Amino acid sequence: MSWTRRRASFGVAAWLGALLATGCGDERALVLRLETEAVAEASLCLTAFDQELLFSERYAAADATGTLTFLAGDRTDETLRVAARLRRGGRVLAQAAGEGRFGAGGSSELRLRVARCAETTALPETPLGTSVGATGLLAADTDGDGRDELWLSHPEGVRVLGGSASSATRVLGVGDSDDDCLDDVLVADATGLLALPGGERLTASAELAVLADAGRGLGLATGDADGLRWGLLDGVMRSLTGQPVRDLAAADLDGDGVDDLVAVGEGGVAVFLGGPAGPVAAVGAAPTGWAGQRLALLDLDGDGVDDLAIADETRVRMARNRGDGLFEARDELAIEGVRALRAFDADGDCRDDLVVVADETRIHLGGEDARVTAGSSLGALVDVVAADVDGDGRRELVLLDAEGQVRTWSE
Amino acid sequence: MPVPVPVPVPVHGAVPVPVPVHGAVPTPAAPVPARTLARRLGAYLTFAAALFASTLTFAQEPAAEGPADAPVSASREVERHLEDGRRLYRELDFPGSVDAMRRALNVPGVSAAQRLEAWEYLGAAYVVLDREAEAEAAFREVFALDPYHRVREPSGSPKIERFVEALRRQVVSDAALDPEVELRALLPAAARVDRPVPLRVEVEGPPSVASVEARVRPDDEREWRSVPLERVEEGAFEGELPAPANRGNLEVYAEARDARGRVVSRAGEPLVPLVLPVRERDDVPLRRRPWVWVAVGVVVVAATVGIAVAAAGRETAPNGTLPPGQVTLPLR
Repeated sequence: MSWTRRRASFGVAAWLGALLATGCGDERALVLRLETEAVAEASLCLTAFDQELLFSERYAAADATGTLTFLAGDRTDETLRVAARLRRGGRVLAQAAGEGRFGAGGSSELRLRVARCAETTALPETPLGTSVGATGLLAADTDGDGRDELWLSHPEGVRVLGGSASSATRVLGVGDSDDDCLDDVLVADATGLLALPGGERLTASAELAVLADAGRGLGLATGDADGLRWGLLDGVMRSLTGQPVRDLAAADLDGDGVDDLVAVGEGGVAVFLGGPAGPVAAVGAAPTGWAGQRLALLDLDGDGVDDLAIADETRVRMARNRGDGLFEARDELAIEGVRALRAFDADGDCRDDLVVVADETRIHLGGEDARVTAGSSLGALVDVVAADVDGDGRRELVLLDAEGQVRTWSE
Repeated sequence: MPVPVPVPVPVHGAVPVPVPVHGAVPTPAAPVPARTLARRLGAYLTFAAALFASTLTFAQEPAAEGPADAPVSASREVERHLEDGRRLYRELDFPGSVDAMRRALNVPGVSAAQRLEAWEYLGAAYVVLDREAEAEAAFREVFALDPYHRVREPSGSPKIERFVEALRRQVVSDAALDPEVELRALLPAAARVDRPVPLRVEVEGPPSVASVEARVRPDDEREWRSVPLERVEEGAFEGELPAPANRGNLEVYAEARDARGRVVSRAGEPLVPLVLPVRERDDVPLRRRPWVWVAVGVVVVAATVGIAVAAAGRETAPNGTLPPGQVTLPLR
């Protein structure tokens, strides 16, 4: 190499060096201080958002406490929105979000704490919008901004509240089906199940669908009058039972890190405990003689594992999970015409309370050993959902009434 | 003709471990912030020295692979179960070997090469235990992963070999594996960037081989590229693999077919290939390489300007403790 070329190389290098050193100078930065509850088998999804998703990363929950520095670089924005969601399987266990301001010529801080029982303030009752004719409601953060969007089932097409309609008519479930840290919404159209907003087609159509952690990946359970089916998201669906299914839910009922399934129909309640080869029927796990149309899995007694609520024509019955996926009958409420059962921590005691959507929707506060200790009435509703609509990390109860009005609830 | 040297022997389970890629926006490493002028000066000089030292290291050896915590730990767990399974099989504890191999298969993230070995041991153990239906299912899994995989049961049991080949005849139409035909691939000790790689394949055994084809790919790509080899003498085929464009590793295997196009024997396999390191061209002295001077320039000027910046009292953002430490947000 000639000295001329060597000098030219050195000149280019000098330029690069100057750029590098200058780039290390005054930096507008936002330092995130993140504290995460170390929940076994859970992962933490961290996203940064400013009109579009700018960053997403997944950490094991046990390793997700520390700091991360966001450099504004050449962006002129003054703020950045950061959201953290603690997930296990397809579901969100806890969440926190906040907006940080870049330092004017240095660093500023944003602190987020992600824990299943974090103290936050409740949002006062707020109207969110109207969708006349809507038949169901689900919450999902599909863009990673830390605020849940409200998805509405509607005969003229599924839509986000305030958005346009799609060709699907029913919203079935929520979960991160493609492992990108963003919620996907399972919807059904005439041809099958889709994951929105990507539009990935998952399987043949069904009345019910839930995502579940299969240990080796994410699994999908679907149910309808033809029975209950199960398969890995990238695998083949197989039949678990031919008994007609009216409602379906998934949760880790025995603490082994793999989600289990509970299905209910007129024929009874079926529990399937997840294992290496997929869910296996646990005969006798549910109290004998129970049947119904609606179910919910929720931690009524605060012992860390979900308990069971089943609604039939005339009542709602509750059973306590012993911790190994076997349920003991505990209590029942006389309520007719139940349309849905939902879990929501209404009183901030870190235990789920049971929301019974019926002709007169009621919240039942769980107490020790899942005994009902109080109730409050919300009037006639079509559906309710727990959603963090303001991105403060606390979920509000969002109500959909018969006029299509959607609003948050406040005691 | 290349000089015959030993090539790396394919070892079950010794597969390249993928390095995890963070979903973050790529960011440059940043120096640790300093509170005082002296500490800033020290930090910049240390950074400069480290960068210079790294350039010298890069000039001699390929970069070592970075940390790969999650996949590495999964791979280690699988390897532990596989080792248990192999040991128990050697000790004739076939039910124990079956359990160990099943545990290996149940580890999330188990690689295809590891699955191949686990299914192979499972199939062999089931044949010994006279559980033929399960043995058939296991070997069908083997053939699904690699239809021409030659089963290497440690004891060389003819019963197992008969079972495997009878099943293979049912499910793989173009396989005619002949245990008496051995292929020996002769490769140089290392490939060089921008230079074709000579390959010689010697065939030992009955003269049933009509053609030999090599398959090659860089270890960071999925697609294999086929290279037909020419017969240069009785029992020997030669050819040149395409010149690698970058440093890293080349994965190679050779496949011999008979006159009816059926696979007779192989050297290496797609899931357990021969691995050839790719190094920089060695005919350019270090001082004549432009990037060396560029690196030296970057170090010198970065150190100088850095000292100046530090002396002017400028602040730098701290590096975070969560990967990737710092995230430079993209321009909208």
